[in-house]
Amino acid sequence: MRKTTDLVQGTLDMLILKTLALEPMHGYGIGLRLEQISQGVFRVNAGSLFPAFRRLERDGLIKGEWRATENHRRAKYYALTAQGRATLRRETRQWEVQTAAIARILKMSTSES
Amino acid sequence: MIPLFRRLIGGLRAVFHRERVEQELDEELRGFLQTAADDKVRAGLTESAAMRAARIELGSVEAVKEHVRDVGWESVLEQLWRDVQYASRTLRRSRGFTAVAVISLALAIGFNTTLFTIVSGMGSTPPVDQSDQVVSLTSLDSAGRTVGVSYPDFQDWRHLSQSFEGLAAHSVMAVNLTDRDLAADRVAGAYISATTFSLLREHPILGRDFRPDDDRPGAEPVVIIAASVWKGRYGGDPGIIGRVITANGRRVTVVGVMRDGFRFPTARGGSRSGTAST
Repeated sequence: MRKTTDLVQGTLDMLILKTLALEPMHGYGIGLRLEQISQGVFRVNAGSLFPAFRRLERDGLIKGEWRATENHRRAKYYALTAQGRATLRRETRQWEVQTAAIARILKMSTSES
Repeated sequence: MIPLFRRLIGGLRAVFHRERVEQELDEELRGFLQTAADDKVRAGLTESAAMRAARIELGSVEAVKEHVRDVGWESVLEQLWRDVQYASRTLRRSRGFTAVAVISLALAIGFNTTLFTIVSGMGSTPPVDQSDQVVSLTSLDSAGRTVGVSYPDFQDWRHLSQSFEGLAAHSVMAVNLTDRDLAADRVAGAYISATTFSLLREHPILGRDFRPDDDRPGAEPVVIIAASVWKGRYGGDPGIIGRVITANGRRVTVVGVMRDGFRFPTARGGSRSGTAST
């Protein structure tokens, strides 16, 4: 199995929401999209994806709906709810603030490394 | 009782969630596997090799399902149930306190649903002519500080005392008037018992006085306003009686307007003070 980078704790939910902000997708599609956009840095396995879907659905941030796929199979498509959209906006903002702060701190110590 | 409750919740969980959710999850995982295999076929693998590779990638289906179950809706119910258990345990341990809390809550609600009057410029003129016949009663604590009178004490005093024509209660407060179409105002006011004005031989110049009915818990909140408030804030609105205004965030109906210059209660001006110690 390929070695991949672990996701920062708690960021998977945000990334799933972001993926769904463009269009409703099924579970496999979401995992694939995350891998493609991160250029293979993140490979999210089903054992992480499915609990995340359940969590997000329970909290009312995404909504599942059974539909036919392009290959004529049935799949559960997830779509962002209004609440999910608001949460994504909020978390993105927080993430930007935090990463900017972390980047500043790391830049400060580059001379030592 | 607790096992029954648990069984009830367990039953609800099974009926509403478990079977349907499990089935759906199975189907979803099958679809996931299928789509992954389809992808690999498109990339050039044979169907059986693709399926095998997809299975290896997915890993243990049971493990995935176990992870999902950990998140399940039912864990919300379980959390709720734990909260309920904690609350009842805590309350059982301090039963006396629970009674007091419940009773004072009930009293607070009762008192809140009484009524109040709004006057401005409080404390300048005594509101009664025969001020030598008016006595002020209050309670003192062991250090001699005024602590006010509880509503049940007031009711007892009123029913049992034979020395007075009548007893009325009041509690002074500031009132914020925040009607939607008017600038906010802060005026002096008081909660009073229904017979206060009639004991003082005062009557509204417009509308009606408070009635004993207004004193009951759950009665519609009503207010009598000072002439200065009527004229100054509401422009002497001839339809003021029955108008609903917002006082301290609550919607209350104006039932009366007092005469010009009427002040309540009096802070100075010769009413004799007596105290009852409890």
